[in-house]
Amino acid sequence: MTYETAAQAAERLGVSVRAVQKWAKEDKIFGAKRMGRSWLIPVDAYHPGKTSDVTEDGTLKISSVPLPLIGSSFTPGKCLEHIKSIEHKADRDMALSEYYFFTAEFEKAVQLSQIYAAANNRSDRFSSATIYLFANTALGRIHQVNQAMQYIKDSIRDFDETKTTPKLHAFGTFCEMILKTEFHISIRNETEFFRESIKHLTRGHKLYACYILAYESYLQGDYTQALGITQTALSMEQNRYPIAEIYLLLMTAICYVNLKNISLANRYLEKAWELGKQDRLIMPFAELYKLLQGIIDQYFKTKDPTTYQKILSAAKEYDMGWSKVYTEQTSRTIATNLTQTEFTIAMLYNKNWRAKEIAAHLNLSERTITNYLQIIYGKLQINGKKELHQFMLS
Amino acid sequence: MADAKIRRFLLDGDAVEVRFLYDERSKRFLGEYPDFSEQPRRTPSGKKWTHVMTEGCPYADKEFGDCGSCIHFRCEQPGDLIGICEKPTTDKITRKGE
Repeated sequence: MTYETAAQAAERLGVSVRAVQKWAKEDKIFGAKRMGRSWLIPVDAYHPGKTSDVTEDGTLKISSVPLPLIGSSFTPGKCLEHIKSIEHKADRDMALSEYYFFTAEFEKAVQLSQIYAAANNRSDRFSSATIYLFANTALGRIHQVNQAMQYIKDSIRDFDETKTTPKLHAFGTFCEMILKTEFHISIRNETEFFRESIKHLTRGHKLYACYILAYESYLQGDYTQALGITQTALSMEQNRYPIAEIYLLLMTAICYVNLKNISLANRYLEKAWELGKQDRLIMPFAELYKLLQGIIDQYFKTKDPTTYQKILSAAKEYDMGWSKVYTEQTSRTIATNLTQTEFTIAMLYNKNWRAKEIAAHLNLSERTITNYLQIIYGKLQINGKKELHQFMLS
Repeated sequence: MADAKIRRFLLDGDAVEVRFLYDERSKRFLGEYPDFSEQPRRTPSGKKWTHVMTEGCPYADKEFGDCGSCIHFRCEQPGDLIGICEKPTTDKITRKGE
């Protein structure tokens, strides 16, 4: 942390030195330290008397970029360098906690993001809550997930009663849509508004927003529309936005699996990994592991067994937490007692793939697949596709 | 033998014996079910034996299409993977096709 003297802070914040010393003494400045008789103030400390996201006319504004890494353009392989170059400390920390999440270092992501849970700036609090929520999901800490989710829900509802800038409103809807697609939780049913508000997001966030829209189309079973969205989004930017691009490429792969075009699905998975591997960004692959329905296993198992194990382990952790959150939030029962392979087979079978097709796709014998189906039916205590459908997501 | 057991599925006056072998990987007994599409079997009253994953009958549930989801499927115990089809019409159709 970089510090300045109380006098420097006073000048920056436009107040008296005595006021800064008083705030520091009263613990109103996060991170302030006493050195003998003087105070050291963090260089990016806020004015504790004002909320920095409210302008003089009472309108909320964004003074820092929400979820900065998702919206960042950087050269693949230079993610950490890019983060270090971010000028504003809160943005830098937020980007780093996003990075920790995407590299499956969940504990670090939680620790860093929670520092900003009480930040003056609303967009920092939003980012903090979102990262905190996802990282705690992977850690299976449902109480913390619920806390963060409640914060996001309340803040989104506040927007209806508060004057906000289009940018902040757009970001609130952005977070809402992330929750909606990821956990299938509807807060205000804002898809149409979301489409309208995308224009207020930054370029990188716009790309990620397209992923969210494609995901929604996918959940509705409209794979062609989802493909249209991802392909258009991917062709629109000259700059690299690796995080958003990885998600778009993976969604494209997911759609191709569902359209039974496995060679194209593999090609897009490969493209996504080309972007992700240089910065060890394994989490998008783990997060979407189940929806990728076996192509991760086919691709990584032999080519890169170490990464495969990491993805598998992150997918397992995330999935366990996700299932708990999903079940609690939606009161729906999903198959939580299946292994990853069993789930993949159950999902494909649920989508009317025949045992023979699943066998060919997963490089297993038909007999093995029917045995797996027998195990799945046994574990779920069902004896029909209709019942299986209740346990699957889409 | 501890790693294999036989179960008799008894329905409509007919009994089908299935051997269950213990599967180390899943720690479960897995049935070696007969393939009724290869070797059709009927009860004395003409009802067709079927596996829940069998598909393609015109009277099956439109959305799911498998015997297990069909209202005409009857099994001895809930969760059984084989049973009989109680739709009299399927009896005629399949008899023609056989």
